[in-house]
Amino acid sequence: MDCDRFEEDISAYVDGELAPERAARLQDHLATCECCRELRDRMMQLKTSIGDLPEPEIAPEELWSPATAVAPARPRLTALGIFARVAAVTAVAATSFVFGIVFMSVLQQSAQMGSSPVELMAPTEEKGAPSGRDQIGAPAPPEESTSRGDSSVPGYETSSGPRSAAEPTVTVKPYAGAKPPGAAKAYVLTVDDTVLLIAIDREGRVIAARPLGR
Amino acid sequence: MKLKENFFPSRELFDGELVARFIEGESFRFNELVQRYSHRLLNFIYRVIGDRERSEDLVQETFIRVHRGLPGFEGRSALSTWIYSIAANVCRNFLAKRKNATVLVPEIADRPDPAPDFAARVQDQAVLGDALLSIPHDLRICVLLSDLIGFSYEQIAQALSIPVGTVKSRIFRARKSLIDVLKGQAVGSGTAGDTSGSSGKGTPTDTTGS
Repeated sequence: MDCDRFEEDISAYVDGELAPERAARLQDHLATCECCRELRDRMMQLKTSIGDLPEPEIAPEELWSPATAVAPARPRLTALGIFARVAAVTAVAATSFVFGIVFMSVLQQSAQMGSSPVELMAPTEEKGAPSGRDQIGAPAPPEESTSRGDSSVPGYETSSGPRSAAEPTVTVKPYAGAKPPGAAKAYVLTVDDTVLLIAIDREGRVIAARPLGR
Repeated sequence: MKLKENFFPSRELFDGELVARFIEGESFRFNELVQRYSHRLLNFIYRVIGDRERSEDLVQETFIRVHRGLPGFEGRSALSTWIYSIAANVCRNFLAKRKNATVLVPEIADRPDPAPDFAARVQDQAVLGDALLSIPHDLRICVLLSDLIGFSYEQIAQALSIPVGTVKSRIFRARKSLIDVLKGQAVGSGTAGDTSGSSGKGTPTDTTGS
């Protein structure tokens, strides 16, 4: 029996993508052809098994301390980790913060300030301005980073270099005031002169961030 | 940034709403988008390129491009279609650059304790993952978008800018090849970056030389 012409239809049939008339003809054929039934069964098993393939194992995110931040570990793939690197490349300078969530608030705040990425990457005289340096989790800037190893930017160090003496002062305190709806926790984060309120939900997603009045 | 009344809707936002709010200035919505897509994107990319560490990089590369393109995203296709279209491009670029490296995939027969039959092998995730890597990447991308991600043929066609007929053909050929591999009958080259069909039985070899 010439089953070749049905084979491709069997594949589309298994996906529910075969037009009704062709599906009807195929079903007639399947009723009488064991090898095509076997092919259909195998394709269905394959489809199911591929759908069940699990994600690759990711090592748990290392709790980073200043020591780990300097070590050339690969950043772990979490939503925040991704977002941190996206932020570093697309917009904003990085500073060493204690919490990953802070990264995003800085991004938002800088977006509000309307600074361009280039301006922010170069440390300025202004006190409290973020400087382009160590990033959360690991100093492995993506290849696209415009500021990687850019020695023409005064004061800029590559992230694998030693930490400079001009570390920002970072403090975090719980925020006792009214929280936005949906917030499980809120913190006041102070980075040098900048004071931010950050609210996170139960899953640790930042749901709001804004500067507090000084 | 003021906290608005409808900042935190009582239900999860649809993709389109997420994008609209992001464009309106709620930049944290991008984080939600990342959370929504990162796990399946990682799995997809990992299954396409077969390299766990590099797949994390490519996920980030994808989100960087998404972030850049989002302000101009007009919604002509679904957001998911567009995101996976970017991911597929990122994967193809990576595989093209890596063309001269060979990913050796063990033959079924060479494995220690190979499972006895198709039904057992198809359920062995390690074997199946390797089998996927042994077929040409154009076929692999299509079958993964269908079976791992759940796209329709139409969606895959949109994402890859190819006709639906080509999608149907590639998925069919992917499955045929996979079935042959899992039956232990096929495949010589085992090159993850190979775009041409593979033929003949034999031990995996470095087809391009180092």
